[in-house]
Amino acid sequence: MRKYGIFLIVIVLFVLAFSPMVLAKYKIAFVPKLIGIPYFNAMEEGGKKAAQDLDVEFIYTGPVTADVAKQIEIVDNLITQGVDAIAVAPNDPAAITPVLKKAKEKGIVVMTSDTDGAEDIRDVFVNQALQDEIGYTVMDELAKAMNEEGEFAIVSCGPTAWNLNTWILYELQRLANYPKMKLVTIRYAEEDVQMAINVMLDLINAFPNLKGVIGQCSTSAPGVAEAIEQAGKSGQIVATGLSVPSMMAKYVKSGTVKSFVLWNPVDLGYLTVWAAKYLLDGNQFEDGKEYEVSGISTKPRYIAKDRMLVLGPPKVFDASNIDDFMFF
Amino acid sequence: MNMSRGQFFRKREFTVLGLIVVLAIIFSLTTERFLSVSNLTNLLVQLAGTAISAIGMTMVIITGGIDVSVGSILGMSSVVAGKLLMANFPVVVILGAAIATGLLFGFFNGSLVAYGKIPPIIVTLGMLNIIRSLLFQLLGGRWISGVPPAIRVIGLGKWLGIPISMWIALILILFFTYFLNSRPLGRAIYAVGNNIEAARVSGVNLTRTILFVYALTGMLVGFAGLIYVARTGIVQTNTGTGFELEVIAAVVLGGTSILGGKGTIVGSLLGAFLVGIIKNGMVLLNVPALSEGLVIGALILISVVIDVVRARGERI
Repeated sequence: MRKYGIFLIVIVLFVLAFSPMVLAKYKIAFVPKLIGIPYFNAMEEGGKKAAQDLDVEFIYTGPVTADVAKQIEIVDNLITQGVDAIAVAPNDPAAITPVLKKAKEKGIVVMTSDTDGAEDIRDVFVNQALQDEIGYTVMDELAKAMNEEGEFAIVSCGPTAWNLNTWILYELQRLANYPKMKLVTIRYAEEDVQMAINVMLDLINAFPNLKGVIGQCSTSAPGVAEAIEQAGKSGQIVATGLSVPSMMAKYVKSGTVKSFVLWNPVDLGYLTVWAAKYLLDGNQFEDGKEYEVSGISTKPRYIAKDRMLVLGPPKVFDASNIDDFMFF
Repeated sequence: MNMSRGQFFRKREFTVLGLIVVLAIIFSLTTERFLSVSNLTNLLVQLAGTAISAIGMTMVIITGGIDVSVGSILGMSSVVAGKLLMANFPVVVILGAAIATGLLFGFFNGSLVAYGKIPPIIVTLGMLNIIRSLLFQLLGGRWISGVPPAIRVIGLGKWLGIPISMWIALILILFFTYFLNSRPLGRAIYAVGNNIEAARVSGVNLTRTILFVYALTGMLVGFAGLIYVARTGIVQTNTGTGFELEVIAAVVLGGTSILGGKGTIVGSLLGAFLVGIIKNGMVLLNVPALSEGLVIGALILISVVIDVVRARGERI
């Protein structure tokens, strides 16, 4: 009996000694394409909020420019640190694969968020919205603003950015619904507001009949709107596109932009951390199921064949709701 | 500097000017929009910042140096100007602060090159990264947007149909051309680049001359940063990245020898115009965007080849 008692004490001591490890919070890391831009700041905010709600530790770290090699290095360091889950918005979907594979072999939950990559390795891709829905919505908003007729241009950013090119593809597909609209040109302005302004000013001169323009990323959308106002063409040319409310508010208020499209990056950051915790708890996602995630405004849906968790439909911002989203 | 007409036609500036004229004729014949007032003003507005920064860069390269930190300096002075603008400081204070920011970093670059005898490419490459990182800390990842309109006249205003920023650029170019050609310090800049030993022996103050060109470049880029904010009303964390290449391309295209000793500020202005006019024409002609780089690269090479061939002919 005494022997049994000693054994019990040893067990209790053992459990006590190791309990901090058992009870330790999950460490969930998110590595954006780059830090220091409003969009990813908003995702960070959402991640932090989720970490608080779900009682996990959230690590946000990334390169200062959209650097492929730096990002890989950062993921490698996180593996060494011993985190439980890593979510990445890869700068290069293929180059990120080996290091994510390494993470997976160490038993780390591996995810992509915002942008997909390493499709064979990752456990789940947290997607802001379906690519086709984004493209269609942008085209529909432009058509509405242009009364479904006239010439328009697209000012995109990096010519190799996979997501931007995919959206453009779906925008052009949707164009078939608007036979009186004509795309005159697609130009590229890098992720640089000034360059977008310059390109748009040139386009206004090159195409005197221009009636609309799509700014394809968060820097080109405010850039093209600014150029329209500088050229005094507000009211004659309308701009739309994908960008963040804090950059677009000025142009929505002046009427140069009637509406623009995005999703809520705060919710996306929240969902990323939520999904990591869900998987770490040993749960599996079910195909077609809509999840109730308290803390975000949409009902994310899981698509099993792509192992993809979709935040929801893209969100349209206009004069009626922009003031509520000025935090990103 | 007096020169006969023959000398002028053999100069690099003439090659570049010739190319500009040829392109302008082609573009005005093929697109009716090229010669429109709004297009030409655009062209000038787009070039002002590059032209102003190229004044300093020309001098740096004439001394045989290089400054690759100008993009980061431009970003930093934009941030300083943007932050002060948002805090509603008077325009004069903001102007002073933007220029002082540039001067500070330029002076630092110059000190390391002149006193530390560290190769300019190393110094400015280091500073490129340091300043960009400081800028990140300062902005904390937030962009500055919604700059009040008080300052925007510098970026968007016009006088006699020409943008105010371009007037400022032209005045600076005239002044510094005179300075380079006729002031002792200006001549010393050429002397340092031609033969640094000869310059030393003939009593040129080397450290002062070198310190001056980097500090001046910093100041001018600081001012260009202010123009940037005045024009776009937005400051990003990556404002100015790649700007150094634009400026260096303008200077080198304009005939300044990358080995030092030779070059003019007017040449750099023409270099900036050449690149600007090509980019502008590509859009007007609706050349597919992805082949733009091909055309610009080819024209840069062609202009240099013409120049080299011409120089060979000269020697015979």
